[in-house]
Amino acid sequence: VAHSKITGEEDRYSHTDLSDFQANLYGSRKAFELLKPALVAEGDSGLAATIERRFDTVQNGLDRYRRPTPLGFALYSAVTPADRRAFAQQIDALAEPLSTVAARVSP
Amino acid sequence: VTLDRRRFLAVAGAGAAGLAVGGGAASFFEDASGAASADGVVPFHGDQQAGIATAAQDRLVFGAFDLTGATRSDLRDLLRSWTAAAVAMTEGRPTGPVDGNELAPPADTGEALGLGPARLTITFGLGPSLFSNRALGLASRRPSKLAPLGPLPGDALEPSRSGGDLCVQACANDPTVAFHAVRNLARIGRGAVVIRWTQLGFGRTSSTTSTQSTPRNLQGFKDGTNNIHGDDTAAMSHYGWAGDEEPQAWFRGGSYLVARWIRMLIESWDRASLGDQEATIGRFKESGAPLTGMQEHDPVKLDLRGSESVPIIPLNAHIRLAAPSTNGGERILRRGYSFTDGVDPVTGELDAGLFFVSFQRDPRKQFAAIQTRLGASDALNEYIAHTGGGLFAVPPGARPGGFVGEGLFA
Repeated sequence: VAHSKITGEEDRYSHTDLSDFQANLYGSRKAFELLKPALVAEGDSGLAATIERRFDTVQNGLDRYRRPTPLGFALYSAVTPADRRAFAQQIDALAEPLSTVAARVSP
Repeated sequence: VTLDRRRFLAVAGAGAAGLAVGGGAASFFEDASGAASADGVVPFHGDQQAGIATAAQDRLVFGAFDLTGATRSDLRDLLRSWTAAAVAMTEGRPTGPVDGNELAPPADTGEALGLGPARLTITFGLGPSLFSNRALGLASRRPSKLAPLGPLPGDALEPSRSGGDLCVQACANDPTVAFHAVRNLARIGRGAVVIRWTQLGFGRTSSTTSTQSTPRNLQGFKDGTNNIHGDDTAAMSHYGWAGDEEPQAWFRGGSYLVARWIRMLIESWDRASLGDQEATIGRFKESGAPLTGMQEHDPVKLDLRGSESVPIIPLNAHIRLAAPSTNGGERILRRGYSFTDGVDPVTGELDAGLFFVSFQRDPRKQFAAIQTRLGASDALNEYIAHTGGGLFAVPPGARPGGFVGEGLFA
């Protein structure tokens, strides 16, 4: 999950940040779902549940910026400073447990 | 700015480099009498939390945290994990393995490896907002004196650096050790808490034991000559610790922490004449003696008058207004640190001052009463501004196997 998507560093000029962020989030979640059975088999269902809950938190925040536009989202410039901070913190909260998955499911 | 500050601290901290040891070496650092060296261990467990009555270290990193939708059991898990990590770090051990698994992020972030315990203390506090959070259901456990102090005269507190559900005060004789503590606690808490604000203090401004000499604050004056000393157990039980009067039995032995950013308008201060500076404080700059004495520890004679019956210590001098005799005998334990945050982006002036921390048994009767008087009349107000801070209830200490704040859940 790329932190720079939501801090606006990547698409400062094209303003596609939120749709890009959504694509990134979908991708991460898909990857996690592929690993989840292995994680549960390792007895880490609590970790899996935590990660899913935190994916939901980020997704819920992002959904509030859905707009009927070609990209499907408001421009990044419309994201309030408080929400930018909240997004960054929610991504950190998600990425922290996510970062432990690879080691747990590796043989 | 951040880089400059880091570089400055690296230079300033070079003289205090700790012993290079792996960890788990608590006994190694304590001599036979149990007194710890400058690099040694301050025991985490005890009736009271360390970092209050224990000797003030040279460095501070203070962090305030907000809960993010955490439940009561999340909070209990957090305090238990924080306590376990604090026990390890105060003994100079990492919070978990750094080495050993190439595929996993290291459990401990690693920057304090080899620096030793450096007398690290980690002191946890609970903000008023924690007890008004309905989801946690802790209203019935609220310490009786934990009520927001409200704006006091002269306050210009910025919300972004005020308040917080929880606080962590990490003090050590090495700045990296103190930073490592707050950083790793933030990481352990990720998902349950977010950092609300932090502050780094680079030099202690108070002597908190009878054996420490009095340091100077950034105004160049000795600060805290008449501070409560933590080893004065009678004064601590009278002014510092919540006692039998506290209806919340679990909180007896706790204390209340008040933090304040006191921004010093350094440029204005530096061009004030020596006489003006000394009249503002009520002490001589070089010796630290009161204007009515010759030596630092000479008594402050507030009633002494000079020619034409003018009080020698001016009526609006800082030490007069802060004196116990001016405040119904009330005293507080100060444990503040000098800070700098680089340059004020608006004025281009130095953003520096005192990160004030005090401990007391009753924040309204002690800190707020004293600060109300100071905020209204202190001559020093021309050179300072209170720009942020918080009030926190500091629970009693944890026993081995227990955790700080356990009484919230009993």
